[in-house]
Amino acid sequence: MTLAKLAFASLVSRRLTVGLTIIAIALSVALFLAVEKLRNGARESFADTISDTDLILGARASGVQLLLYSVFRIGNATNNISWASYSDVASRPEVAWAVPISLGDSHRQFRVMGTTSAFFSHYRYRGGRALTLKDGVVMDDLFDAVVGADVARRLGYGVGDPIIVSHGLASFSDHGNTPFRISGILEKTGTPVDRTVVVSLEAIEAIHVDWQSGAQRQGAATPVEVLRTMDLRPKAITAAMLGVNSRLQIFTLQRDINEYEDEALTAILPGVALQELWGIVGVAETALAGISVMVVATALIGMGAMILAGLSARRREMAILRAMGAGPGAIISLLLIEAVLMAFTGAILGLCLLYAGLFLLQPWLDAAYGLFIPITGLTRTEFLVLGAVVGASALVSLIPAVRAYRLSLADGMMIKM
Amino acid sequence: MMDPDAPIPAIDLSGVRFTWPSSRFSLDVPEFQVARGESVFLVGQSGSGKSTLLSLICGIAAPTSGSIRVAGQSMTEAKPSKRDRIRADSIGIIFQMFNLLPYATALDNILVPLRFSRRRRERAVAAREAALELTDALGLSRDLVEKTRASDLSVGQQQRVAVARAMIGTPDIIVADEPTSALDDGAQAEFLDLLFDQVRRFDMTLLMVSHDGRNASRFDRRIEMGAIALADRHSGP
Repeated sequence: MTLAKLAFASLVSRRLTVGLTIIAIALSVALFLAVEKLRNGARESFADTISDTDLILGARASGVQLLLYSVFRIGNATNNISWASYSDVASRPEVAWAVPISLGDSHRQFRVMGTTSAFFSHYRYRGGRALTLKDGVVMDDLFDAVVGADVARRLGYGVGDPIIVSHGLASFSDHGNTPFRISGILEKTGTPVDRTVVVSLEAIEAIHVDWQSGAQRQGAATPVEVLRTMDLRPKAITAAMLGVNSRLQIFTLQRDINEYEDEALTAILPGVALQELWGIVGVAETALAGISVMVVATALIGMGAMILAGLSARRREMAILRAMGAGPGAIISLLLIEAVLMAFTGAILGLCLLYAGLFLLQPWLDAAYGLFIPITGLTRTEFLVLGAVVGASALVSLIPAVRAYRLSLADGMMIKM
Repeated sequence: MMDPDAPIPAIDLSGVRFTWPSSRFSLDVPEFQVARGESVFLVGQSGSGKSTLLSLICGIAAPTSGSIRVAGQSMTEAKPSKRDRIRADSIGIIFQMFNLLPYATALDNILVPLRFSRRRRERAVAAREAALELTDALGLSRDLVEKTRASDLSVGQQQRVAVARAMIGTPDIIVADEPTSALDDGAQAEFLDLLFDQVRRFDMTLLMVSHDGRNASRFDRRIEMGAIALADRHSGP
């Protein structure tokens, strides 16, 4: 009879406490791995928000701020940039393409973004994926709008539905006399585009014809028919996405924009700004990881305590083994094997919990939070973590193991009941 | 001293003094021998130092001074790990209350000593068969031995399993510590029949300790604890 078999039989005979201990380890391991998966998923989802855009152009601001309002639609632009400056930059020979965007209005809780059709051909996310339409077509008419997947789902919109854009964010004044018609609905992307209503730059201009410094002009509104005949070239935009012909030109172009004389402009590299932003958000992520490490440690200490508490009830068992010729090594190995068996079972069970949970929650996380967690095998780090859990269990069990040996020495072989 | 030409005794204590490290109890055994193949009945009241003497012979406790030799090997000169090996190789122990591992099957209980002794493993060539042969001889069915957990055995069955466990791999010496104290007269006699059958079959040395002297006549020798050992509970610093 091997020690492992003995240890196993002994564990089975104490199945209730052992079972609870294993469940505690399994839950803690599952939690830890889930936090790891979420961390990586969140970081990747985040970094995947925008790709293939070389520079983002905006008014003078910090990189993170410009990124937040232009890409994540969080917060407001400090300043607009003039159409003249934009045109000047966009027409430079290094610039391959430019997508101007104009923000500031909203529809219900969603932001409205004015842009050109170039947006649909140049905006890329998740490693170069292009936007695709689930239904309908890109804006065709002045008052056409394309809505993101979340907008359509949350508000129950379909192609052809009319929508009214509100002035500013969270305001009560609507652009009521210039209703839009939904011409297309985008596929889900997991990016802020899902929560955006896209219209043309001219449309943004058109709905503001009667507005001056944030208030509607007195008097009759300009009829839609008149608006259609007006020159609707924008005077200012919020930001622009730029692509360059050669990556080598990015830094020169960035420096030239930052030193632009006629207007205070900023150009940022989206990747760098994303990293900077993640550096800020990442503190919470690190804290989360720290907490889950503590949970695993707690479960292991619990296991150590459980083994220790069980020892006095098992003095007879130890004394029998000692009398059969078991040396200290055998007694200590027996308890080590027990702990490792428990931790290993717990780790495997935790893995099962993790993957079961991922399969169940993946669609919901994607739909509700735009957080796509790919179901992949374990990373090297995660394997190391599992190994560390088993290793740490052996370490924790050394305390009861040594105590068991001491007790067995003191008891001798004549244990009285 | 022993005659140098005489065969080496199975158990040989001389000038042994033992003091429990943290108590005032001490035990002196000036001279005690059990010859190879001999059966000895050691009678002593509780507190006479029987258990301590057995711990010393089995090498679980080490004496403060003196020499203990078991099956020709010195317990007193050996390191603790070596003492564990001598015990595992040479001594089969039957406890008071039999003390089986409750969660393991009868068969697994019987096989435990082999885990700790290469010598006994080699002697019991096919361990399972050796164990089942023993339990057959002890009148236990194979099915029971292979499938029943020790906690589900009757007292009589536990006795037999305990005997088989002590016998497996034919150690030189069987040490029995009050094995009959929980049994009525009839069961005591039956147990001793079983025990003697096996001890004779394998030509083993038997040392049995008990507080009650009945059945002592079946042994080659009956010794009073007081005749070989002096236990002192009150002296010391």
